[in-house]
Amino acid sequence: MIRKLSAAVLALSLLTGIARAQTPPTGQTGQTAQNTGTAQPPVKKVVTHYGPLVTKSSANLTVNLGDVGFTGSLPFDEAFGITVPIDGTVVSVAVWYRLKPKPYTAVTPTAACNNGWTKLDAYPPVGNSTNYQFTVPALKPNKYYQFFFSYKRKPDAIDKAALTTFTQQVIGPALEAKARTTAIGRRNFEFTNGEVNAIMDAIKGKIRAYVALKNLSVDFSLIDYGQYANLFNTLKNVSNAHQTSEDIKHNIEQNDRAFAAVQARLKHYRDTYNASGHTPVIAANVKLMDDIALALPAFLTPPLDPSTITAGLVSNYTTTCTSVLSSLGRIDITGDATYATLADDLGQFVQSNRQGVQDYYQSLQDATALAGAQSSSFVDIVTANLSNDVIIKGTTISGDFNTSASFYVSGDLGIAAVPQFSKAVPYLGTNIYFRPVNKDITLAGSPDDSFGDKFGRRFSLMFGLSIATLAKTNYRTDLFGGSYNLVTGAGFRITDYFRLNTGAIWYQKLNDNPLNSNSYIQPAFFVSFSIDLDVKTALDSLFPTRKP
Amino acid sequence: MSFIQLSAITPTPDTITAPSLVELAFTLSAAKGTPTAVYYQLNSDDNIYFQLSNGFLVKELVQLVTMPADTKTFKDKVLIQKVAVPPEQDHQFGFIYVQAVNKLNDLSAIKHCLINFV
Repeated sequence: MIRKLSAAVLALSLLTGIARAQTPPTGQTGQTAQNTGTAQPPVKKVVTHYGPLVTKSSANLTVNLGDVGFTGSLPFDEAFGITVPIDGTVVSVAVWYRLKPKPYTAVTPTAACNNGWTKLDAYPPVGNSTNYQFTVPALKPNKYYQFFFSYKRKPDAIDKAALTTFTQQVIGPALEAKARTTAIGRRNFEFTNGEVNAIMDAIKGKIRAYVALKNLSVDFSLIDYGQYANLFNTLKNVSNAHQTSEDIKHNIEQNDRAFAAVQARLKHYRDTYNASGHTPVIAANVKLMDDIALALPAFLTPPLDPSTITAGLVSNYTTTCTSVLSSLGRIDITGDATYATLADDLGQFVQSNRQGVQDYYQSLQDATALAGAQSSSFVDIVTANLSNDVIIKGTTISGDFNTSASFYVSGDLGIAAVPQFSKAVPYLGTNIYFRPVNKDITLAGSPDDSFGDKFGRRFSLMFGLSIATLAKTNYRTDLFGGSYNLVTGAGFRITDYFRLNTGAIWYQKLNDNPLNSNSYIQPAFFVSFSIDLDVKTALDSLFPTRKP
Repeated sequence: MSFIQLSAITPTPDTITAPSLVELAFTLSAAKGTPTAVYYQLNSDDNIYFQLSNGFLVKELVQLVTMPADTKTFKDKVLIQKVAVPPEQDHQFGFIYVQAVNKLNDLSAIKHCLINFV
């Protein structure tokens, strides 16, 4: 028994000889820890993300989540900073954090709503710096935290082109779906507010889906009134352009219907005129009228299908019209008021349609160009929001940051007063705290600390060995022989380095009968002051307190 | 042999809070002496109307003119009124159409303008 205790004393002596607190190394967050907090922000420590935070490919925007993360554990009980290097595609960065909730919820913050997260103060790059910095308030020890990074950025040209196409893909069908013919005979491209909202929602959905494929997201909640008005104007302008095309088309179709009467008059006149004689002039005029009649089917089928109309079809049609007008101009009939009126009406219709089809084709071109430009404007607004107001959640650091450490262990040297023996004995002890203690901060901590935080930094259990004898002949001997007795108790740090302790010193009491050699272990109350030994060397390797 | 044509329609003001008078300025081209009907039209399925002096709300106005020359400039004022509808069915913009019809041969021309509502 004595041998076993002696072995324990030896081990304890070794430990207490080198005992020192395990405190999280200042600013250490793994092998990449840097202390870059120079001018701003006003924080003591800086945690730099490890690995490329943002990776940009030529074809798309990629935020490489896999390479983002903190190494090591985060500081606790003190504010620290996070440095985020950005590249040229990142306009700004926002960071939120939270304790990992139990049960876990996947809700994430937006620029409009923190959703239970806490947004960090941001310090954008100044001068030539490309680093964003954030200040993190003191974190609780032994907790899991999550940090949510949101990068505001602009899509590249390829992405913008794709978004523009998507926007057009929404607007086009929406226009067609809307353009029902009204009672006044023309298709209507007016949109109600509800229809406008539906179109915008559809466009947003397309854009959202597109960026989601790139692990990005769009927060449209920050589109302000002015930007919404611009978006509305894009739709209105496209609607107006389509309405112009529709007006021309409707006008041509209406004139074609009205032309039926002119066509009948021409046929009647030709038949009557043909019966008036067979001079070469009459024969030539009849031939010309027949040529016109042959061309009229083509004249009455103008290329008005916007999906098939081409410049070639328009050219063919205008050639037909010009041919009709040419034939009409070569008819040699004078002094006949009926023919003059007929020729004038016929000429007007042909001229009107010739101009109308040209205008219609041009209006379609204009509408298509405008739709493209306006869709691009729409995307510009969105992307402007991306760089100003709208957030693309380009990356989140979704990993958990373990701030926990093993129980804090420190060693101290004290002098214990034992009233029972009227003696004071020095001892070496070890203090065990029930929470990690960051000794880089003041004992008082911060005003935000809870009672538990403050108490936890001060209170500890203590055990050790007295290093002066308590032996008294015929009364007691030292527990471990030599001059060693077990010291147990609890302590309370009253300053950074001084501790008030109390407890019991365990010694071996001898039997009152000198002839009886049996002895038994007895405690003796003590009060002590001790000094934090603050030995920082070997214990770091012997008692690694921080998880990798 | 010139066919009937309309210039672009210029509304003044182009942004209104109904009810409001809107001047529609445009030029009509047709042969001098041509009897012409000029129609002012609104889409039939919206909540936008012309209001007559007697308070009636209509979708179409018409005037008959004989062209005093080959062109005639119009600056007609129409009173635009809206009827109350739920917000999602309301319009923030609408089209006013002008259609001119040559009454001698029914050849027509159509143009529209856009009115914004606030």
